[in-house]
Amino acid sequence: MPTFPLIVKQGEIYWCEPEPLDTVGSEQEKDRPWVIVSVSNLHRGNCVEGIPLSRQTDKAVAHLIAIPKSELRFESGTAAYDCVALTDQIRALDKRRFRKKTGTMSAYGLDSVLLGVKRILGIGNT
Amino acid sequence: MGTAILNLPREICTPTEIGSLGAFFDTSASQDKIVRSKEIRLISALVSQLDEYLLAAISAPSAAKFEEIRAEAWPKYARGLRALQDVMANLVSESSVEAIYKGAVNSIEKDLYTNGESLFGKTLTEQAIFTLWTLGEIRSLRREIMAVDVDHARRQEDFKLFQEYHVNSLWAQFHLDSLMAADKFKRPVPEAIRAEICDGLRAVVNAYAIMKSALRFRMPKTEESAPANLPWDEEDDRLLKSSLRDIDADFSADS
Repeated sequence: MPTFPLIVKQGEIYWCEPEPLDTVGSEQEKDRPWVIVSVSNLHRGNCVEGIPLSRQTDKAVAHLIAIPKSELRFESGTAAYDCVALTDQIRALDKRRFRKKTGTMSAYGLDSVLLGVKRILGIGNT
Repeated sequence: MGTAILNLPREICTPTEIGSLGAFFDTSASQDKIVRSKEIRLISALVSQLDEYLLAAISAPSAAKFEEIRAEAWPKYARGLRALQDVMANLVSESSVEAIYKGAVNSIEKDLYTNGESLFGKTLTEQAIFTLWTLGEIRSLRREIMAVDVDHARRQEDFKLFQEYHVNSLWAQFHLDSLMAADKFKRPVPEAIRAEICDGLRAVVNAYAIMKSALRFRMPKTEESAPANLPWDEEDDRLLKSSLRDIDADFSADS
């Protein structure tokens, strides 16, 4: 039985684990949650598109979108925090690396992140 | 909603149009053809009054002083802008306003690229350009929203979203107009107040997200269909693995 989530939805937040052979240490120590931005029913194979969330809020400028903690819901009692969606670091992620869902971003937060993605990809009124 | 982080004053915000012109309306030869000279004088008087409030704000030597002046200028600015928009709506057809808007946006963008960095620094210039672009996105959303009517029973909720949008939009507009005033009068913006202005500009992202909510409210999404069963091969697998390689390197470096 696979332990990774079979269905990954837009707006969900995951820690992306490294290859087991490549590293030591636990995922909780790494400040790298990823929010899924790709449309759920268009996912192909194990590929989803994600954007890393950084705690370094001073990075927020223009399309690097500040997300207040009120827009994040973390599970397992993890305290939410203000963060920045690094939309220029959008990446294909292998959902087999996701061990568990750690939270979700509100629709309001996700719309803000997708605005930054539109900007960086030159979609919309360029 | 994420607006709480900005702690915006809401008292004075009477709803007006969506994605409207800010105080950056300026008289020019091309606009003279659209608006007659008597009307231009009236509009110019309103614009110069707005400029006065904005210049006072950007003259603040410290963040605390900026907040103080802004708190005083904000209701006057909101009322003045409302007056300007009402005058414009009475005198100029919607298609002409659109033409003026497009002309103004092009000219502002050019000015920001040319003068922004020297007057208020790189970060604020980038945030201002992004704000301007987002206002264009909001105008596109507006067209979609206006095309769908909302039934009577849901109007109150729809109006609440509109009010929330308006507060955020106007707040961002105030800070963008402050920068436009800095450019118009070639007044450098003190470094001490740049972060405050940058925060103010960020309200445009809230305004956009609220408009997206309003669109969903008027046009609820249909249920998502079943996941597509698209083919996946070894090449896809290799590409996916390479996408994650630097993440692995990052983890190794941290460990």
